[in-house]
Amino acid sequence: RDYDHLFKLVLIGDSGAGKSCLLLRFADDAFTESYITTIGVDFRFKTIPVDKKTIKLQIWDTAGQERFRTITSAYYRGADGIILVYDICDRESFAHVDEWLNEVNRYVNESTCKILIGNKCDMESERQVSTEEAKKKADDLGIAYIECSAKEATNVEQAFQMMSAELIEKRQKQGAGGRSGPSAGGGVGLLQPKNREAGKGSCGGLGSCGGGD
Amino acid sequence: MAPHSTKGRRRPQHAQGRTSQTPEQEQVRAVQAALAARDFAALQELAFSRFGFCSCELRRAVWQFLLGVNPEKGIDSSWRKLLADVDQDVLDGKEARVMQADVQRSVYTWDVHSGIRKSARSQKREQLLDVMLAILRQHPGKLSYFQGFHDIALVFLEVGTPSQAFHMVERLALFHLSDQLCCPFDKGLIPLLGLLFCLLERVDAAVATALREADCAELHFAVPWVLTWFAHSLPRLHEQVMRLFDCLLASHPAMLLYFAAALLLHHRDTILTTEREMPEMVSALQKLPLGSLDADEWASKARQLAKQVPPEELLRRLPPAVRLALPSTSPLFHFPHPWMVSAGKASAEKDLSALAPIYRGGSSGLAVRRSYGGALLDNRSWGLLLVGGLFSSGFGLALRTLCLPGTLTGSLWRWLGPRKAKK
Repeated sequence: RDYDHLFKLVLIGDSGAGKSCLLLRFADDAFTESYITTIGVDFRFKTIPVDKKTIKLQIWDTAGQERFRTITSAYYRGADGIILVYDICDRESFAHVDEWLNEVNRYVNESTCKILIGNKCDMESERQVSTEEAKKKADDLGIAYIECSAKEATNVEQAFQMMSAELIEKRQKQGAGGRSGPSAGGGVGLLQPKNREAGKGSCGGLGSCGGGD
Repeated sequence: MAPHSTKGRRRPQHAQGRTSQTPEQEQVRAVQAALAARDFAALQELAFSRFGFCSCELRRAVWQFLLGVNPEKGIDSSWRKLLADVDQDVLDGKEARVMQADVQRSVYTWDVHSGIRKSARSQKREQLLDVMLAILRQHPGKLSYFQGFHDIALVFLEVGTPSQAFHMVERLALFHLSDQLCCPFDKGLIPLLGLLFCLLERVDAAVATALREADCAELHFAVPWVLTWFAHSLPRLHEQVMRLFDCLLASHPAMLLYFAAALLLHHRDTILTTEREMPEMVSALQKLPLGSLDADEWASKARQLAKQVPPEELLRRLPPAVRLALPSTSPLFHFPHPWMVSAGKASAEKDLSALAPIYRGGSSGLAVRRSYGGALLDNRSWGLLLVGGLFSSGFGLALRTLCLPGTLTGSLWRWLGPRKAKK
């Protein structure tokens, strides 16, 4: 196999927060004004080097509308990392952060890493949520926070790097490469039994990588 | 009595033998003739012929007819009253906000939008939001917006005026898309995907098995196909999206699934050679070269599948769990549409919404049954059939005596026949 670790990541957050744009920027280093709605679930592979290791990421991008949760929730299960995105120019999308975490915690376990991304930080003049407020929120939740701009490619790579580094560390602690195979690590199907253990605050250590404190 | 009973299965005579015409002109004439004769059966045929309904101008008329919209309705803008207190800048409610956000990133989807002027795009977006808001307001508590409905509604705005689009999309919402629009996805969309998988098992077991082995039997990759009638996925508006809509508007509501199956079968080699892992399979299916898809070929393949396993037969032979999961109000169980059965009775027009399965629900009324026998064959009567059988058999016989024979009701006879044999 051509990678050291395989991780399954899922992008969640309100519709229009910029999940697909972040993924497009990260996977293709591209941005388009003509971005369109995600209907259901989209998928991308991306291989990146992290700390001299080759990391293969499976990234699932989900529709933001609540109605789609019946479908998208199937992808939370077995996720190694959850990327929760809100739009810094849309307070409502920030207000829904708790709701999203509650939703996702129904399906993931404590080892799942989570990160909060405030997207569209290039649009400073339209900002509705201050960095301080968002940082505080992330601290309270015990997850890392980073502000990105998919449009200007600010911090996008870093956000994924940061999450990957944390996941590598976790996996190494769990035992050398034990879960890194494609069938065990990220290649998680929809048929896995649900783990309803809440995993709140599972990613607290990430704060140091991305300005979470 | 349906005016489409016998004639017009083939192209009308006058359209044949005119060798000086191009095939497209010939198709235009045939469509015009079928439309003038209010001949559903002929239009059903023509939808699948090369060029389909040919042009936006012709589609405007034919689509309205296929949806039972009186052309006069097309100039009726009284629907705008529904928007009297709407300020597009401050929409209330989660659903409206999502819809607005989708509209704000729409009018980018197809080839025809690549060079569109900014002002034209803004205008189209305003119209799109108006049309969808008005439809949802017209049916409060019945229809709820899903992301992707906007892609479908936009197709109708590309064909007709906002008023025409309003009336057509409203009809579409009630009679074609109610599983998607009226039910939570686990009750509407997911059962449809279940049905699609059953169809795949029937028409190409190897493909179905490959998808199952890759943990893709839930067919989530097909969600945008089923929710948006492929409008979200196909890049060419006229040659692909509208051609497909020609066929879907003229056909049994299950036809969408046959198109989905036909597409997968067209790419069966890709599916069969892809690693049996979900990410790999989804990735491969997301990359299908839809831009090069020839709609005419696709339509004939879909039609061939529908002949191989007719919708009625597919539904009849479903595993009980799949069948019972489908909503009783599903358009699948309520075809032909009331206006197809009683074509020409303009007086019925204003009551058509009330005849939508989602409004009638489990209600019974002789007049409704008479014009609309398929409605009786919902999954509840299937349940009855499975339990005791006798009760619904009585229904079936009563229905036979009530219904008048006609081309479209022929499917109903076929449906009823084996049912009786089953007992």
